[in-house]
Amino acid sequence: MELELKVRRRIYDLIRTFPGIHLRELERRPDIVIGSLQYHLHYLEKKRLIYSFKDEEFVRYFTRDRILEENEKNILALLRRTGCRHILINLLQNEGMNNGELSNAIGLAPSTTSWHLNKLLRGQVITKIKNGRESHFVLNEPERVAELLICYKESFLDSLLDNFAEMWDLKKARKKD
Amino acid sequence: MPFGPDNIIVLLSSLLALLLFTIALLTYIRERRRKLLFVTGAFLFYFLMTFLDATEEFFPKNGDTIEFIASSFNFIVLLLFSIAILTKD
Repeated sequence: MELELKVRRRIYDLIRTFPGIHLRELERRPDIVIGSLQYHLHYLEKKRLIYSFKDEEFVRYFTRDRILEENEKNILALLRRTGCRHILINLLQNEGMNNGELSNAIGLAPSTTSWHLNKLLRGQVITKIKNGRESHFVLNEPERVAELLICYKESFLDSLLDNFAEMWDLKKARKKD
Repeated sequence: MPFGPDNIIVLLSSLLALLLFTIALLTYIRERRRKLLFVTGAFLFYFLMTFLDATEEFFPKNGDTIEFIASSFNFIVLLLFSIAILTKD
């Protein structure tokens, strides 16, 4: 799932940077696996993130300006926090992880992970499922989170604030998404 | 009054402290964590301290009040950083 997300984001970024880029040009990129390119393009078109049209012998691709719904804006706001973003990526890969597993996976202290989980719970992005004494977390709309992760682009300010916050998280080992 | 390299350094320190305060404040607004609130406060007082230094360089005043305020700010900065380090979120 994570690899798929990365490839889709890369393709989406390329189309956003070079509007009208065609299939052959995308294939020439060394970091794009040709075999799965059409599958990912089809996925992005189906999810209305991009659109294409035939220009003589080329099919050209463009990103679609998406009008965000209220809950999508809410998810995007949470994606700006590195901790929340890493939790969501992990939950996309392994649904039902608990606090301890998430804490290990993202390299944050359990208390900090819990703080981020509460933010996500309040934002109704995830749901807590109690199983005896343990709590497991699942995404409410995994497909939507995956789509928004493709659109999300870290700004310079985001990374600056992340780095600053990180300085004060002693137990955190940064993981890049 | 001659405008020497020491004046420039004091001015640059003041600007840098203001920048750090702004970053700390924005991070606190985004993260809402107590630890960051203390860090923001520390940078605010650090900025005020360097600002006082800078004003003294450019508009020298005599009197112990400024010196006392600057020393107090110095203490507050260290106190706030200590609290930030000891705070558990």
